[in-house]
Amino acid sequence: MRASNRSAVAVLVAVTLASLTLLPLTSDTSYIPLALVVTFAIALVGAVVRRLGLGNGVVLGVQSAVLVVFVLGIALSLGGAESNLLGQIGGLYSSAAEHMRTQAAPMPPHPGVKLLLVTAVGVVAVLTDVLVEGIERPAWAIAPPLTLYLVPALGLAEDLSWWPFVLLAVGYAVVLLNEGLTAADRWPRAVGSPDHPQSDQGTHLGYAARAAAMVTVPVLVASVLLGAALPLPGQPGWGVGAGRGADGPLQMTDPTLDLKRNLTQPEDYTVLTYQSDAPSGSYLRMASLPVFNEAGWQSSGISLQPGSTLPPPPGLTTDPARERTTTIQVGDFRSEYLPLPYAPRSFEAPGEWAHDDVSLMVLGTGDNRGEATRNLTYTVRSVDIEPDGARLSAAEAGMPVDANLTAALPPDLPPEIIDLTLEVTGDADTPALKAAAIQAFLRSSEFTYSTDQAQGTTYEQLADFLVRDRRGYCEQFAGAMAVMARVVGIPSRVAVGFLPGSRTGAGWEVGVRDMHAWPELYFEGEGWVRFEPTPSLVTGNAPPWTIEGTDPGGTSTDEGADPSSEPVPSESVPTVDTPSPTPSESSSAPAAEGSTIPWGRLGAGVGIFAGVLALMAVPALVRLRRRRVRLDLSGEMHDRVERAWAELRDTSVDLGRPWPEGSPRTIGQTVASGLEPGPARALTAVAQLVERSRYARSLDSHANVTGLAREVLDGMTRHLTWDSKLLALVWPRSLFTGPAPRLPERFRVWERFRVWERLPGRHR
Amino acid sequence: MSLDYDSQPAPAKTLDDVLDVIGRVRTAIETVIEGKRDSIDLALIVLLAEGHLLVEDVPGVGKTMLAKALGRSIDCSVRRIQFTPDLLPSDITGVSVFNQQSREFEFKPGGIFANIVVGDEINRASPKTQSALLESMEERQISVDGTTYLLEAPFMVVATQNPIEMEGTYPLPEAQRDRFMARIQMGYPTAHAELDMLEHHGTSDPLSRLTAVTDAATVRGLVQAVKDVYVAPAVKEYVVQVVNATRASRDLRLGASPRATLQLLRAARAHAALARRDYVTPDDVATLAGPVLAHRVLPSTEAQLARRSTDEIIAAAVRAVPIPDRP
Repeated sequence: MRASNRSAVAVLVAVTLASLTLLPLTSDTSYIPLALVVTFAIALVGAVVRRLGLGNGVVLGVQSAVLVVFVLGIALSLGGAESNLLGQIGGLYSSAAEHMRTQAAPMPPHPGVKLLLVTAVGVVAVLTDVLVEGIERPAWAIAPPLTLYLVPALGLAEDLSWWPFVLLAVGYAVVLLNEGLTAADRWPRAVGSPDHPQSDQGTHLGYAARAAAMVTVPVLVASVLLGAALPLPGQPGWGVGAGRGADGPLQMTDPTLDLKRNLTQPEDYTVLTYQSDAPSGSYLRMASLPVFNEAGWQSSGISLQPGSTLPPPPGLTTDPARERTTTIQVGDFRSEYLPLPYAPRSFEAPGEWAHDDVSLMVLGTGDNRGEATRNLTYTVRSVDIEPDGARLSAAEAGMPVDANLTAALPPDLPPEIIDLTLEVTGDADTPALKAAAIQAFLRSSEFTYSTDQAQGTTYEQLADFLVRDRRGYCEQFAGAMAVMARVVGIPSRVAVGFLPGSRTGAGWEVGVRDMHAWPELYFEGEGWVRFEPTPSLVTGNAPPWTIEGTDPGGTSTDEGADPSSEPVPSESVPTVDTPSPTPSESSSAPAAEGSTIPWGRLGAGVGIFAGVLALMAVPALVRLRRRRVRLDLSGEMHDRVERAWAELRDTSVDLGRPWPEGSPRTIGQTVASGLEPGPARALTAVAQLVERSRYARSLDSHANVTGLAREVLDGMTRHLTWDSKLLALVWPRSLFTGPAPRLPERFRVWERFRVWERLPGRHR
Repeated sequence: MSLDYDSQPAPAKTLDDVLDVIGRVRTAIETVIEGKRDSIDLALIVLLAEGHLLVEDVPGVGKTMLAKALGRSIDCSVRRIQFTPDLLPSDITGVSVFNQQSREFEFKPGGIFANIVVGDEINRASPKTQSALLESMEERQISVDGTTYLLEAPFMVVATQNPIEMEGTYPLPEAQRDRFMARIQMGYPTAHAELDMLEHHGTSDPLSRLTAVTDAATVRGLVQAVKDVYVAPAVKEYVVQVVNATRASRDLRLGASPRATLQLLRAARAHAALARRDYVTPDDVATLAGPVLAHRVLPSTEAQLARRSTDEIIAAAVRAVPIPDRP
C-alpha cells in the first residue's frame, strides 16, 4: 500500500476507535455508523486530494467542505420544525447542549446530541488527518482523539471503564505503527539497499511494530499502575478520619442538618448498599419536611404508630406500577430515620421502629435511636410511584390530609418568588405541566450546582437562589421547587434521603455524597410524586413523568384532536381506560411518522447529492469539451497542429506524465520515450509538425495531425488502471495547473514599472 | 576577380548537396582526427556560415591537425601562418616590391591569401600583427598601398591558441575574439579514440593520405544554399533574446555583441542545414549559443570566484529564455 493511503487508513482506525470512547455518554449508538462514514469520507478525500499533489490548505478546505456537507445532510435527515436548514442545525446544537446539561450519562437518544457527536468526530478526523498527513507530526495525533476521550472521562461523575482508554491507545498505536512503517520505508532507501525489497518489507513491519509497541506498551502499563495506585473516590481508607462519624451521634431532629455536611465530605464513602428485585435503583427517603415558613423547610410533629406495616400510599388511586423488595445494609451511618424507597408498604428491621401514617416516615424509637440505623440490615417491601406521564399532566393538584401544612403558602413570601414562579409557569395549562416547567427552569443552565452555599431555605436564601446568584445545592433546588409548587397551588413537601447510588454487580452502592433532598408534589389520584429539580450532574435524569418535553406533546395532541375533552378529574381519575388511549396514540404517532418515508427530505438529500455530483462533474465536462474542440478538423492547419499539441500536453498533465519545458522536438523525444513504438512515432510526427508549423516556411496541409494525436492519446492511456483514468477524467489537472491567461499588454501596468531592472549595479 | 566577395561564382546547390558534401568532408577529416565529431561538425558549420574558427586548447590535442585536415579535404588553397613575436603585418597581408625589370611595384600576397588560413598560436604574435589578420578576417579584403585585393571565397581563418603558455604571449583582446564566429575546445580524446590513433597514425602522417573531396566552388554553392535556410520571426526574436540574456546576466560583466547576434543566427542556419532542415528552430540556436557566445563574454568577479565557466553561465542564460511556441 502507498504510504499516504496507509496513513489515511491509520487515521480512519484511530478516529473510529476514539469515536467509540464517546459510548458511555449516550445510550444512542446510532451515531457510530454516521461517525464512521464521516471519518471514512474525510480520510478518503484527504488521500485523494493529496494524491493530486495539492497543498494542505486545499486538503483542509475540501475535508471541511465534506464535513459541512455531511453535517447538513445529517441535520436534514434528523429533521426539525425549522424550515431554514441553518436555523435547524443551530436549534439541534443548542437543544443538544441543553440536553447534555439536563441529562445524565448515558443520555437517552437525542437527535441534536447525535449530530453534535458526529460533528465532533468529524472535526477530530480532520485535525488528526492534518497532523498525520498534512504536517507529518503523527506523534501529535493523540491530541484530537484524546479530546473525544476526555469528554466522558472528565464529564462523567463516575469512573470511566478501562476499555475507552484501550481503544484510544490502540488507535494511537496504529498511527505510530504506520509512521514506523513509513520511516522504515524511507530509511533504507536513503541508505541505498534496494537489493531485497521483499524481505525488507517484513523487517520494516517488525521494526515498526516494535517501535510502536515500545511506545504504547509502557504507556498502557504505566496508566494501569498509576490508576491502581492513585486514590480513587469511593475507596475508604484515604484520609477520611476527621469527617466520618467523628462528630458522634447525629441528632437528626432536622434531617437537613447533616445534608450539607455529608455532601461536602472530603471523600465520598459508602454508607449503605442495597439489593432490589427491581431492575432500577431507587431513591431512599428518610424524612420529609412538610412545613415551610420564613425559617425555611421544617419537619412537623408526627404521630408515630407502632408496627412494621404501613398504610397505603396516600392519594394513590391507581394500582402502583411496580412493587419491589429491597434489602438494605447500612454501614457506618447513624440516623434515627430509616432510609426506605417510597412508598414503603412493610419492612422488617431489627430494633424498635415506628412510622407516621401521613408521611410514611419510619423512625427509630429505641434507646440509642440517634444511631438506630448503624450497621443495620433490613428488608423493605415498597411500591414505586411512577405516574403515567400523560395522565399526570392532566391531573389536578390534590388535597392531602395534611394540606394545612403541605399546601400552606406563607403570606409574607417575597413577591419576587411569586412573580418568578408565575413567569416560569405562564404557558403551562395544568398543575403537572406547571410543575414540569418549574423543574425544567431549575434544571436549566441558568442554575449552577454548588455546595459552597450556606445551608438553609429561608425566604432570603431562596430569593437569592432563585432570582440573584442562582447557585445552590439540592436543598435549595428542592426547597425552591416545593415553594414554587405551592405558589401555583400544588401541595408540596421536601423529602430528604439518598439518591439511588451507583450499581455494583448485583446491588447498588450509596455513598455519603449521595445524600439528597428533593421535592414531592401531591396530585389528585397520584399522591405524592417525586420531582427532581437538581441538575443532572448530581442526580441524573429527571423522572420520566416530570419531563416537560415528553408529556405536553401528548397533551397538546390530545387537545388538538378533541378540544372539547378538557381533562377533568372525573374523566381522568375514575376511568383510567378513557385517557389511556391518548398516550398510546400520542406515543404511536411519532413512530408512525418515523416509519413513513420523508419524501421531502429524501428529495432534498438526493438533490444535494446530485448537486455535489454535478459540481464534481464540471471540470470533467469542461475538459471533455476542450478536447473535442481541439481535435476537430476545422480551421487552418497551423491552428489544428497547435490545438492537437495543446491537447497532448494537457492529457499528459492530466495523467501525471512528464511534459518537460523546451522545444517541440525536445518534448516529443522525452515524452515518446515513455510510450510504445507506434504512439511514440506518432508523437514524433506531431512534434515535427508543430516545429514546422512554428518555425518553417511552409507546412504540409495534408498531414492528419488529428489522427496522429488520437493515436498518441490512445497510447498514453492504453495501460492505465481504471482509477487513474477516472481520476484524470474527474480531476483534470491541466485545467488548474496551466499558465494563467495572460492579460492584454495595455492592462499589464506593472510591467511599466520595472524598477528592479533599473537598479544600480545591474550592468557593469 | 569580382570586387564583391559575396558575388563570386557559385553553382546552385540544394540542402541534399550540403548534406552529401559535408558528409564526405566530415568522413575525410575523421580519418585524421578520431572521436571529435562535435568539434569537426562545429568547424564545418563555421565554414558553411562563413565564419572564422578559434580553436583553444592545450598543445598536442589536434588543433592544427583539425585545421589542416579541413583545408586538405577541400580542393582549395590552404596557407599556414606560424605566429611568432617577430611576425610582421606585411607577412600576413603581403607587400609591394619594386620590380627592377618592369620598373613597377609588384604585389607579393601574404599568408592571408588563401581559402583556408591556419593561424597557429595566434597569441604569440604582436598585437599589431594580430590586428592586421583580424581586420582582413572581418573585411575579407586586403588594402595595400591604396590597392584593394579581394579574398577568394570561401575564406576561413582557423586560429589556434594555447591557454597554458602565457609567457611571451599577447592574448587576444575581447574585441578581437569577437571576430571569430565560434570557439571550440578540442579536449583530450577518449581512451578508445586514443588507442585507435596509435593504431592508425603510429607509422605515417595521416594527412599525407588525405585527399580533397570537394572544391572551393562547391563550397561557395553550399554557403549560398545555407543562406536560403528559413528563419521564422519568432526564432529571430529568440536569437535576440538569447543574446540579450547574456547582457542581462548577473554573472557576466560583458555580454555578447550585436555581431554575435548576427553570427549566432548564421551558425544556426548552418546547423539546421546539417540537420537537413530548411528552417531554423530554437534548438539550433540554443545548441550553438555556447560555442558562438562563450568566448565573447567576460564573467563577473563573483562568477570567477565561484569558478563558473562562461559555457555554464551562457547555458543557464539560454535556459532562462522561453522557447517561442507560436510563429
